[in-house]
Amino acid sequence: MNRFIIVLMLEWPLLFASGQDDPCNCKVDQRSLFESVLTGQSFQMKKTSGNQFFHDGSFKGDIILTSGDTVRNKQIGYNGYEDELIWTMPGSLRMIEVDKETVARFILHTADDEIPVAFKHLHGTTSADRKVDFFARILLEDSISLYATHNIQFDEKIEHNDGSAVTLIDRIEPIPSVYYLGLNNNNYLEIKHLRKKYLYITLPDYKDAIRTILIKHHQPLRNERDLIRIVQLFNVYKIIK
Amino acid sequence: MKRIFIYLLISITLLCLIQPSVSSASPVPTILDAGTGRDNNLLKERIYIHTDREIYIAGEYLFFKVYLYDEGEKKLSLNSKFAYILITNRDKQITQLCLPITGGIGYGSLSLPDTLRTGPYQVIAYTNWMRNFGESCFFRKQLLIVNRFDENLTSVTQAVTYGNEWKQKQEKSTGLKISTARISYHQHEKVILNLSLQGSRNANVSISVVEKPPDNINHTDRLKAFSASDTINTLMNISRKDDLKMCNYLLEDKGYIISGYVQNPLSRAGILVRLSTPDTTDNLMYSTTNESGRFFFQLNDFYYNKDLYISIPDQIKEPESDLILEDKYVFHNDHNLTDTTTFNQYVPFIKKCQTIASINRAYNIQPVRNVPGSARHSVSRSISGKPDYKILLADYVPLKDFYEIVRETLPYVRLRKNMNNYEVEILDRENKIFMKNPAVFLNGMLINNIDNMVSFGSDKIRRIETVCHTRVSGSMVFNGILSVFTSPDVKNNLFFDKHSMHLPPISLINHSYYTNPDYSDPEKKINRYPDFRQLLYWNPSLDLSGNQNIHAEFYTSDSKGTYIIKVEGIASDGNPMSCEANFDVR
Repeated sequence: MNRFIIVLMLEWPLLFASGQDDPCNCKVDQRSLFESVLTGQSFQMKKTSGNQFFHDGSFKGDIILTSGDTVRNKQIGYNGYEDELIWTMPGSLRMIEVDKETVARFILHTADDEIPVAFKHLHGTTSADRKVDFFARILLEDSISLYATHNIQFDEKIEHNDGSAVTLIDRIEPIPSVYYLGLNNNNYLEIKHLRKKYLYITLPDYKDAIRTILIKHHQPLRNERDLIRIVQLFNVYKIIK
Repeated sequence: MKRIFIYLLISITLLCLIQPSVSSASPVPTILDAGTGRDNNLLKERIYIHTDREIYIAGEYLFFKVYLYDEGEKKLSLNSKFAYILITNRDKQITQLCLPITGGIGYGSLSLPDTLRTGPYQVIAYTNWMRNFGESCFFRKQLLIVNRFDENLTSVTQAVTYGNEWKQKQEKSTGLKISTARISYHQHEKVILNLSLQGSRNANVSISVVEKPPDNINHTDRLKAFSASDTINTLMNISRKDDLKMCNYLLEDKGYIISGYVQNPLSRAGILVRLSTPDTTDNLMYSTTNESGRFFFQLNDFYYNKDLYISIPDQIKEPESDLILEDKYVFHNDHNLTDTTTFNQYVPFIKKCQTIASINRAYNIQPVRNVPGSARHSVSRSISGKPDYKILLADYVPLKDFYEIVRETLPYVRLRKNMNNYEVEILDRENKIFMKNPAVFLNGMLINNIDNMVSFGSDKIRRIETVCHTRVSGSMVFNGILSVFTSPDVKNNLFFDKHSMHLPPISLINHSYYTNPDYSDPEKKINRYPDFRQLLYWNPSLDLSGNQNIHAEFYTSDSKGTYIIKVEGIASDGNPMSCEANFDVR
């Protein structure tokens, strides 16, 4: 047996001596070779009291551009205070405000074990003819879609002492999400409060149909999850035309 | 001793078993699909061309349809979006073109030069991806082209042969049927073709109706290009030498790819190469050379049909660098043309073709209708985004040079002379400091220095846009942007040094159709133009549905003879199909 091991050991270098290179010597990853680039400008974050970013930071994520191309695996974060997508350039750690009009949607991989969070650049008008042009989290996408904003708003100016000087900075805090029902042709309906009463006010033409379905399914409306279920019912019963 | 021999035998056997998994993990190159990211093991693309005829007179149009077939999926290929077509003779390339392919199909026409000598020619077709597997995989078809003024016809050959590599099995029943109402027609009479496809399949076919030469070439091997297995076997057994060339040529599934390399004695990797085109918006593509010094640009619609400039931005750092572009139309193997021999029975027919071509030329009869401007125009998003300031020089009194323009109209820009060169600085609007070395675009193109621009006054400069903050495009960071747009008489070449390259526009041919005269109205029949068409009908793209009759109509010409109807195509199930029928014009 020892002899066998010795022979094997002697032959071991042969394994490498006769080994051939990969014929291609490379995997041609055309996707990364021709990946679209992000464009934007330097982002200088205002000093604030309170975190401006969604989930308090930046994450690995993918960006789908309005051109249809996807830019993958970038360090990005959603700044809810400025409503901007911020990209941290590798190496320099320079923060870049990505040109909003080039971004169709982006996906944040907030944690390995969590479902990625997707945002969409909503672009259109509301029923009150108000312009819609901001990022909102995608809760449901179907014939009737549901989105939620994650904005952070200015609260008050406060004094900030950094040791050498006292300055006035903004204190900011997250505001409750506003929900948007996405209809055809970039039209959106705004739902500010998670109450059935406000849902009926938002959709007066479908009040009876909605009420019937909610009763049938014993569906309350107290939180975001309930709203998602209700919009799913809208899609199942094709209530809103 | 015997035991040692047995040990040796066992261990060698073990090594042999291990070896393949270590040394050649991938016998064929792998490409990550650009769209889905999935691994596609060796896309097996094959190409086939249906030409309207096999005998042409120099100066005539050649109509063709290209089928790109995916041998793996057994259907029309959705991968490559461009096919390259060459016409060559033994000595040189006659013409070349790039044809856009949509859904595995592309068609068009090309004008054969009037001055071609009589002899055998070859139409060659391939995709960029097919170049990885050598020229033996290219589609080749031999044509006979006769000069209009050649009276001797000494080199008339048996016109059409296919390359040896296309020796394939005969196509069985295709389920495609074609018929005409009669077998004989008068001149200027309407012919109605009935086409039907058996089964529930659909198909896209091309149809040609052309005067039959006296000794018609045997077309039984017409569709061998599709049904072949030999070539695929050839691909799988590519020699080691060929293997090393793998991955040289990328799949053009998103856009036309420009590739080249940087020749530099010091280092070839990591050199930035950029591409831009003169336009009303700032535009820029960049690529970094890999270990072998190669760079690639995948063009989008914005860059087609425009002059392109490729340059290396940092000439101080890379002083000896030269750019060399790869030619996609290089074809080495031109020994497949058959020897020319005279066939007497061809001569009267060819003389007739020559006479008809002369008549058509005298009356300037053009059988081609081009479809204008396919939707290959797009607007590039400006690198500058929204400029902070924009001035039109027409709003100001005339200023004699750029120095004066900057001083009088651009307070946030500083122009300084440092030794022999001029330098620009732009005021950062937020930090209120001057940023050095901003990007300077001239007519949409990033330029290395502005020395040539300093003499330009209001007569040459029309518009200036300034970005007074840091802009980023991919990994490129610009300390502000100064965009200058000049009048059209300023030559862009002035701003590029000898290391830069000017590429002529990448022109993609548009779809073109064959025009048939319409004799439905008796008044139209009384036409002073002669009609001796030998190609009565050419339809490159006709959709057939299973068990449904499709009609195609055309009129006969004044040219009497026997005409052959040829239909070729690919069914939705991936099977190639073809059929032929004849009729006479008396």
